[in-house]
Amino acid sequence: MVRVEGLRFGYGAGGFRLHVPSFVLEDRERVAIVGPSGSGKTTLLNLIAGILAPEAGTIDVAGTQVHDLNETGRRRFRASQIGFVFQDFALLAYLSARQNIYYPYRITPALKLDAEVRDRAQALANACGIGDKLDRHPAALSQGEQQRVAICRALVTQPKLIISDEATGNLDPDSKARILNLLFEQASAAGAAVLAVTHDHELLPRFERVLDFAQFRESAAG
Amino acid sequence: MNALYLAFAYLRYHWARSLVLVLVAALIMFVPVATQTLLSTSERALVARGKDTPLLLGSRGSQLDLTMAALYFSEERPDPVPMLEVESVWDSGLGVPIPVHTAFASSGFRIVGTTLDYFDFRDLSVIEGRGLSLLGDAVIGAKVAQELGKGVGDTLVSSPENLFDLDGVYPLEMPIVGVLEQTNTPDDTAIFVDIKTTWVIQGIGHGQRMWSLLRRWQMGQLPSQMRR
Repeated sequence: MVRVEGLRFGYGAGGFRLHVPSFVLEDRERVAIVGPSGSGKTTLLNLIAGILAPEAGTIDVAGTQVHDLNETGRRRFRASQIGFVFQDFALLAYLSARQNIYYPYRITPALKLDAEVRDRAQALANACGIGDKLDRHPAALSQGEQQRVAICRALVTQPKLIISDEATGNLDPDSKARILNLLFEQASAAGAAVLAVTHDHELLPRFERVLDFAQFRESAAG
Repeated sequence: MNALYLAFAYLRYHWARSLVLVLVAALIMFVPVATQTLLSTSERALVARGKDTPLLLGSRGSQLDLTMAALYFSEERPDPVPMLEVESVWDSGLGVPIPVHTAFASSGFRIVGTTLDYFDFRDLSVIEGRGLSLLGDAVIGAKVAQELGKGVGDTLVSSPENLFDLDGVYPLEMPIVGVLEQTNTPDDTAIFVDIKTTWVIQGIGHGQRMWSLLRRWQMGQLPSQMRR
């Protein structure tokens, strides 16, 4: 699913530098990335998602050479191939839960919001236990419910890769386990791989593999 | 279309914030435009009155004071020009001189002594009463009528210039015989009288003789060539 080779990236001269000699994420695999703050975990996720462009190396995601794409191509690839789940949920307060789930279709002209998508969104919401709360705005939802909306949004485009950046970081211990289970269930149902950054070591046994990121950092400026 | 949808959703959800934002933005745009428009309009009005006046003659001194006094009836008092000079312009045939005497005031408004040519020149028309015909008559501008609440049949008294000067300027009671149509120019704020009336106020002709002349004028006892 994801194959990274000889990846190099830096934030300016003398700043934080990342070097990933090799990293592979298999189809449907669930990998946790751990490491101290500033070790470049989120930077790697951003590079794989095409948000950042590498200085050197190759990034192959589902057969797409992400490092060769221009900005427009990376944006289109990101919207169609990757689902994001963030620690702060990144929901838009002015949209209802339903419209937040539709959001990738609102910002990507290549994606068409049709009846099939609407049915899929409703099915995902039902599976996540928020099917009856889709007309509420985020402010009227609990944090767990907001994260469920974010998971639905990440999965509604049927991506092959789910990137989760501290998705359970804002939740209580019970909710963490439930949300992670939910994420895995839905990713499994969609046939998507999961690459998750986490600081929560209690959750690590649930992943198939753990990648300690401290080895990839070349300097300690970040 | 999707961008519009998102924008509309944002506006609808944050309606109060959006309303304030729109109002502030509108205000930011409106104030300079309104100020510019106001300035342009004022400038045009000022310049237009100047442009409509082919030539302004006065004694040596401040041109600004002369302009402000003769065109805008301000309180400036440029040095007077003898009536003889007006007549010499008449005699030259170069143009029609219109004397303007603005030294006096009544109830806060300038008394403008002039001739009937002024009304034709400024295209002023009387909407109530009649025009100037007798010495002592007053025709008032629209704003004067509005602010003082006076009209035809009422009287105005010129403001005394010096209470202790026995040989000087004394108040003159002037009957209002007409009200001018509003023009949105300084003419709206003027009390028009015949220039000879201002001479009477000024004391030219020396008191008793001029009062006697005025009474005779009003009673129709003066020769017709002395009347307008």
